[in-house]
Amino acid sequence: MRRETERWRGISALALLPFGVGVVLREPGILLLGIVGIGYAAYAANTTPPEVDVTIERDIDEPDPDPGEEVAVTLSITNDGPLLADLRIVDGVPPALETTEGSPRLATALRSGKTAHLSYTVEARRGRHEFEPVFLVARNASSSVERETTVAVDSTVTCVPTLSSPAKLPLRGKTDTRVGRLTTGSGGAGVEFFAVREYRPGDSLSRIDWRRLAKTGDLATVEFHEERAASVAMVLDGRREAYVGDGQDTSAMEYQVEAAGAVAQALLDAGDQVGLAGFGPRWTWVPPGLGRDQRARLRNELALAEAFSPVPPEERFLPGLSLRRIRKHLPASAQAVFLTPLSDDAVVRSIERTEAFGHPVTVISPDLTATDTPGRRLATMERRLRIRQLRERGIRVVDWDVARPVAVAVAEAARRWPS
Amino acid sequence: MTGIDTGPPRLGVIIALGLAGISVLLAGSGSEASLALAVLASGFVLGGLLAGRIPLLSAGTVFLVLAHLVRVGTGGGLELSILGTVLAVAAWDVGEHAHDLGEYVGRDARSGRSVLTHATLSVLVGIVPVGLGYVAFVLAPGGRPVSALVLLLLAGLLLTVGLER
Repeated sequence: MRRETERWRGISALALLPFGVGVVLREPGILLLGIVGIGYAAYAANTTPPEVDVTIERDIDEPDPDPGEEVAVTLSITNDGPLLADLRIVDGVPPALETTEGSPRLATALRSGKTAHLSYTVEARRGRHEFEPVFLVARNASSSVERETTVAVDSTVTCVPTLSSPAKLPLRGKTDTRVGRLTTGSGGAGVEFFAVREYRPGDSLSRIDWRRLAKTGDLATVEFHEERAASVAMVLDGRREAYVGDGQDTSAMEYQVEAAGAVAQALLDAGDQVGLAGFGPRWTWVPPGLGRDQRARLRNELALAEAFSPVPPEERFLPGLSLRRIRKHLPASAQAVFLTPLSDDAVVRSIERTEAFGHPVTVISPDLTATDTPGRRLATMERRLRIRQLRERGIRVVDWDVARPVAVAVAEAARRWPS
Repeated sequence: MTGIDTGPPRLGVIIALGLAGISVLLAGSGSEASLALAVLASGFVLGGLLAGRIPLLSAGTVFLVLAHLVRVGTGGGLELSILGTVLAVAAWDVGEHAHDLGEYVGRDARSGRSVLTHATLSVLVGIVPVGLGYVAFVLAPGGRPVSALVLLLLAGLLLTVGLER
């Protein structure tokens, strides 16, 4: 795109000033000063924008870094066209990555056939980060006109953190039909004594109460607490409102991902089925599953799914629609673990509705509130009220102070819950 | 993401200050009137460059050119004032360019080559035509006719205006 900068506007007037004065005074010296202005005016009058014909390459030293690792990026710009007297280059650094050393911008003059290099370092963060096109502005020598272009150079940095260490979250009483670790309120095969009932044909011989038969002659069957596995969906709050920060460049989403990984690890270890859903405009769904493959899949999705991106969504969001979608996918017997900073009332309503539809909900809420300004103190109070409201409805809430490990917060909260 | 320091590159500011400084000294070396104007101009130029306010810098440049006009009008040497005027305009050009660079790429980006290229061209563009004009003016036979010079400049102006269209 060609654009005149109009920076020299008024230079003709400045050139005319000595000219006029010189003519009036008939003073050749002053007239000569006018030449200065005319020279510059002629310089500025050339408004042919430079031809931009460049080849750009981007070199990334580590495309699959660990979180926090420094990644060196080098941009090489080769001028295949004529001289560029004033070339400004801004690399399209992915929005979630922070530059830690150097600058992704460069201003230079580039002769034909020469190559300029631009090096900087970014800090890797969770997610798949695609570089945006390189933005170029070329100006002519006098800067009177400029041409803007973008050059797409595809590069990606993919950072998949390992799942955080397990945090054992006690589940609520609803299970599916597979054997597992959750003690249920119904009798059957198991370990812990539940009740004695009258014998029915077909009962296993190993469960007949022989002592009672010897004493009274009646056949009776011992029942144990049935131990079943649970199906759990981790639901992460990916709405714009949930991207509240902790004041140190880490948004609630990072804490949600950390907690989801920790809880999922422990659940998978215990033999429960774990799935993943995004509550927000960007949809992600991993059906509950078991085993090593599921663990790898959860790790991957937690790191890379767009719904859990470190960058807040731009799209419009309809909570009802997202909730309906989650409900449609959740198996009937599944529980939900909601991860949310509880930054507004809408998420509270959604949690209550999920519970009302028969999916027991446990909430893990990273606490990112601060108390340094009246507005923030108000937000802190509001969040506390939301937690109380949820607890009054019988929903378990882990209020996680993010300065401490999530496993500790979960264990402390679990002590207050009935087993 | 931390914010970008959009201040002008230091090299650009230093060069502009240097050019303007020499121009102010040259203007001040003439009469009292031109000295007064030069002092006024230097205030504006300094403020404009250091605070990044281009309108101030432009106003300062106009005052500086006026100071040189007054200097020549009050009997100062022509050569130094021509040089001073070129330096004044070049200082504005370099200062404005640096300010603009700051807004595009920030103070932390490498921009030395761009600043130096621009500054060199800016000074050359002032010196070369004036040098030619001056040589013609000095060497012209027959008592340096002002009317010829007027016509020459008029032609130059018309040409410039024509080019701008």
